[in-house]
Amino acid sequence: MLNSYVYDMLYARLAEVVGKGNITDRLTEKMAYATDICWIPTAWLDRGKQPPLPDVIVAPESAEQIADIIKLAIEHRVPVIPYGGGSGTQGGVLAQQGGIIIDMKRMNRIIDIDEKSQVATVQAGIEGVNFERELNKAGYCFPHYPASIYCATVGGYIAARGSGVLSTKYGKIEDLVLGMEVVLPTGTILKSIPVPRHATGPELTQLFIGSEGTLGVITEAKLKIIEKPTEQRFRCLIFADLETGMEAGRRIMVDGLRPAVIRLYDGPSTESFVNRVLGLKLSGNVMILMFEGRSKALMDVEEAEVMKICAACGAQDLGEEAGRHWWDHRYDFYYPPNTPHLPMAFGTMDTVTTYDKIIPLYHEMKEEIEGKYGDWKVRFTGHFSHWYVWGTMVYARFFIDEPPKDAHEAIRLYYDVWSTGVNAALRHGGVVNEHHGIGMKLGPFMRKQYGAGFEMLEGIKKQLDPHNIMNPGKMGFSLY
Amino acid sequence: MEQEKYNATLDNCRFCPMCRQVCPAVLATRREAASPRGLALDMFAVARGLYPAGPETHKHLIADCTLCGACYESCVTQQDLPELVLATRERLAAAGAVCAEAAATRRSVLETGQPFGAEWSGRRCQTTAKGPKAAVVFFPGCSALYKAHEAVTATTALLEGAKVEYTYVDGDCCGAPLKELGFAADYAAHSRELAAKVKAAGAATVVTACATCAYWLGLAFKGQGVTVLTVTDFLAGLVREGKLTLKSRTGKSVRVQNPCRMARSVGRVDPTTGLLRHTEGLRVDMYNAEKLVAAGLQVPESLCCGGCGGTRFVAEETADAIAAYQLEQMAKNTVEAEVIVTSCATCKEKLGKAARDGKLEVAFVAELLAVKE
Repeated sequence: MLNSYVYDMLYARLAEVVGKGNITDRLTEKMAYATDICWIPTAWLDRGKQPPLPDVIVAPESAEQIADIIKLAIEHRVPVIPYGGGSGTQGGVLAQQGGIIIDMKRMNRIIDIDEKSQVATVQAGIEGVNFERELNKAGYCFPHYPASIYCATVGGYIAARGSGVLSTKYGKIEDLVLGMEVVLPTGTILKSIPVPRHATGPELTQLFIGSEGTLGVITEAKLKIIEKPTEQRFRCLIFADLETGMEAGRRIMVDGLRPAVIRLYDGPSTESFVNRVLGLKLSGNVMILMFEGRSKALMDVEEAEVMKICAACGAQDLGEEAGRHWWDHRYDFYYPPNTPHLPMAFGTMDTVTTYDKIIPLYHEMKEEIEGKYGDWKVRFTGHFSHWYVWGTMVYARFFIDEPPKDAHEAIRLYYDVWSTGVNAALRHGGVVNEHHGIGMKLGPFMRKQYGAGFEMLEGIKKQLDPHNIMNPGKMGFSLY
Repeated sequence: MEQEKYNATLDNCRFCPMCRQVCPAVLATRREAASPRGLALDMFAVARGLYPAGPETHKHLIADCTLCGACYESCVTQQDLPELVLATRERLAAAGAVCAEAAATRRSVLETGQPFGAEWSGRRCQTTAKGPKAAVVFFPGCSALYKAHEAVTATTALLEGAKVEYTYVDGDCCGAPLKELGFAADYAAHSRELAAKVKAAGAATVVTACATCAYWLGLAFKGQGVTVLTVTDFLAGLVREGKLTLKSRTGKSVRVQNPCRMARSVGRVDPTTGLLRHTEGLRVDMYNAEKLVAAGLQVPESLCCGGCGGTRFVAEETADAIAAYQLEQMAKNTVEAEVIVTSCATCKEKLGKAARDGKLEVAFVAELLAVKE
């Protein structure tokens, strides 16, 4: 990164900012930042290749310290990469060109729980699970439950524009943030307007949600919490085909009903994952429903109305137990033996579009990937699990059991599969990604996604970060 | 650890961060490298030849892992990282890639019989036995003998009160520091010597104040007709057999801490509560733990005190930070308890040090008990 004595001076100055116990450049410490959950660096490592490492890691305890770190980084033109829980799948925290990792995990305080307004103010480095446990003790919850809740930080939730398993009722993370504190790439500390809604110009909070550390470091967030639901109900149904299941889901949303979970599995997913986890022998398309709330009367009505819609769409009601079993085992889908592991190649191409396009999009992705990579015996599955009034998300997954052993060939094939899937999604009105973010992996598709809009995004980046020090090379922005 | 299992564990841990939230080293230090995935990445890099095996990795694997087993317990794929860490320490030590702190501890055990360094040699708790032979050997362990004398005093008072014939053997260290720092051959020799001394004393039972001693001595005596028990389990046995009735020595409300070594390695999840509930006049505060479980929340039942796994000998500041973290968590989750009670003298030492300026007291289980005549 820098020649040795300049680097050592920078190290000493960073140590002055965060304290000597909160900075390190030991090789064994840097190795912990060699990979996140992204397949590419992990497979690279698995094949005995050294992934890029950061030059130095700092663990600040305040926004002011981060501002000082950034000012030093500007002075030395050194990349700065914010690091939360390291649970991202897109390589968003990789130090591709070295630089300074800002590990946020020391900033893990709950600053305030405003019970009257139902707003919690937290530092960005708190893990989701710890935040939730503290809220639960006070009778509240933060209804954002990604599979990564045990390791992701709140800052990571926001930076990746993520989603949780109950998003159909409560929304994605962008619906759950009231305001934020961000240290800008110039070292300025910005606080966005923390009110439910306003007409005071554009909404700056939303600019930073999903910015993946490229526009600044999220240091604090005001989050919308709710009183903990007192009741949950479950249902498992089966539809003869994807189209009728899709229509039932659409109708539920259009009618203003809000199950917390609507999860519709395609045939291959039903026959592989769902049957295995639930111990069933079903064919067709399973739909899982979960309702939750604090009013029994409202839930009675909601459940009855939803079941009426499903019956009208020809669904067979498999009862409550299978739905409850799914809920109890909902994370099992993401762990072995149900989830893939190295040396397999695999990925989740979650995308979203409007109802008129979603089924053709799903079929096109499936046909293209299965057709083009048949020699690699690729498998393709999908489910639909984040529902909106206007459209839904497909959680499309591919698996190649025996990818090339050679690291270079493996990465090239991997990119090719992604390119095929993402381009199929874009052709059918989908997006590059729905809730895992862009990171390093999907950056190459951003220009195509936005067209002329990407120049505007680049302009914003340049305005906020004139020296391109904030997480360069991510989200399609330049590495240099 | 057999080569096949070693390779499989190394290849199957794929550096996911899901166990980080239960790791005491991370909870206390908030450092990514201290996480199980941080250790796994270091071991993997060495195994794949990305950088050479050196003292820095040896130190990392000791300083940031107390071998408490929480990561293994929470791992959905059941990768035994603690065993992998221990096996790697041994490989590094065998290759001469030993950190200076571990080497100094080894020297201390071999030359002075205790792991804390020569300056601690004169600070041992004095012990006397009625004779060289008895059915029971009381083996306090180095934490109790050097740093928590009250655990020895209180236990011997109970043994005397219960009229238990016991003796000591010549030797303060169970060998755990040697084993846990990676010096397998030294540990094997030490362990053999200790076993011979116990046999020479004619003992069928070894009672120890330390959960780590209970684990390693239990392994050392496996199949040799010698039973190893913690003080708590030994006293509970006497109570069960009607040979002993206990009463409380405190009017304060107590909360039980479950030593991780006892819960995970010795397989005794919570023997302390059982014993205390058979003690007259003792108020055990279970309120908060039960409430949290009822609310569907995980309770860190057996969080490490920082004293195990060799960490304290290589990075005492990390061990102390872990103890402070555990005490803070217990204080947060305790409604009325004034005393934290532990069945392990190492926990007593570490948590007691962390509690010096706090509201909570920490006591070894025997300190709270008296024989009811």
